[in-house]
Amino acid sequence: MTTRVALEEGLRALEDGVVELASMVDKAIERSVEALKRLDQEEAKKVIRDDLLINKKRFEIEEQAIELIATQQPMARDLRRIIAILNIIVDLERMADHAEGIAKIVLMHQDKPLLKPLIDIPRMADKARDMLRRSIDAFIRRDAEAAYKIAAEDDEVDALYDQVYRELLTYMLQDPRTIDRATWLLWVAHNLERIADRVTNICERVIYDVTGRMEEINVSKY
Amino acid sequence: MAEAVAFPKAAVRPAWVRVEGLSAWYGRRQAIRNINLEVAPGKITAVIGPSGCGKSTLVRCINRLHEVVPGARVEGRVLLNGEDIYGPGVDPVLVRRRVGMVFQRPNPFPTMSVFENVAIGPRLNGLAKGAELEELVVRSLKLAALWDEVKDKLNVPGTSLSGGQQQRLCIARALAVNPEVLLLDEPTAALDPISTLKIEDLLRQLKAEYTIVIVTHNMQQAARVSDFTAFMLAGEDQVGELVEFGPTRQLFTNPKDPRTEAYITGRFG
Repeated sequence: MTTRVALEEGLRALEDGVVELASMVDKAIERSVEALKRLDQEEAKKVIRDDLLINKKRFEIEEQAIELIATQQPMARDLRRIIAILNIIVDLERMADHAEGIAKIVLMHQDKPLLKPLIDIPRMADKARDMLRRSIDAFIRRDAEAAYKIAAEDDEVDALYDQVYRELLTYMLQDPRTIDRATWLLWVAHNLERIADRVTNICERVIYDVTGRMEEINVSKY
Repeated sequence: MAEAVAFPKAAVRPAWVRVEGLSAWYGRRQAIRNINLEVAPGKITAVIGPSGCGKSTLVRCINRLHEVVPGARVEGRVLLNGEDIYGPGVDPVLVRRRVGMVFQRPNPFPTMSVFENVAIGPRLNGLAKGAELEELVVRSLKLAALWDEVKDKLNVPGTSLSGGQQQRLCIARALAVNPEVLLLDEPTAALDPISTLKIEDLLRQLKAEYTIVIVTHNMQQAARVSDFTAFMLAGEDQVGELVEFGPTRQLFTNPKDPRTEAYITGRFG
């Protein structure tokens, strides 16, 4: 007979919650960048509205976790798992805020066209989303090796951010009238860069969950 | 009067229990005062509180065991599926069959085998015999999550089992007479942690059919196993009262009464 059925079930429910929240966040990032590509104001508004659902989900998971700690006295790996989850959901929720930030930049454009066709920004988004999905996968599989590897990939996002920054600088130097729109795109890139940083935080939590060690890995240059 | 004699009516599963204005005395000393409590059907309700707060007295009133102590008496009502178990003409023996009890120390009948320990209740009550009785014993042992461990030794003395097994044997014995409510008075106080967790998992499996009340000293156990928790405390006059009752989740994360908070955070007294 297995023991601790209630604790096991509670942990599984929390894991399911994390996967669901991560999927909501992943979609929010995707939709915000899609909205930016097309300057689709309606879609951007939707991303902003749906952020409320993400916040709600995060609080729901947090309450479940608190209940599990209060009622089931988790110890050792079970306790680490719950603490990791409590941290991960904060990072996920903040990532969604960055997606919301991108959506708000779509709204700022109003009638103005994009300064330039988007090249590196969608790449940054794809890379960050790929890292996000794999970090959650590593969390579910308790794979510390994968977590180290994913965190190292943050350098690629940083490099893309550098590229975007330098490119936008050239626009601004050539024609100061582009400064507002160039700055907006720079903010978008910054939001994506921050999203990838938060994936690194998730990776740190996976490593803590698996090994019990708290360490800062791959400090971003930004 | 005919109504009262008709007790018990057909069993309602899972059963509900309502304690109304219940007070109990041992001779001149009052043990509990004016307890009001709704025990939800098909749920586990835990009663917690420090020693001497009257929690055991409370559950012993729910199956009329309190009154077997000389000089003990009870006031108030205990409704089982709407019928007052203290109503006129109600046979306390029948009440105890419908509301089973498991005690702190495993107490299998010392001269009886594993099989006999479980069979004795239904046999004495004329509930089953022969092959039917055997089936009932097996079913009860399975329900108590003990079958796999004893199926090859049904004829050994019940007391030869381990402590945790003996306690599950006592639960099987209680289940064999098909009660509607199961009262457990510190059922794991004498058991090791693994046996304790086994009993807790067992209770979770049983609760769909049996309404369960568990008295426990161990509030972590109450937190782990129960759906609702009642916190009792003896006041300055040493009489136990119900301080707070609510969903376990709420009681352990955000209790309403400062005395509950003080107790569950270990800052009592």
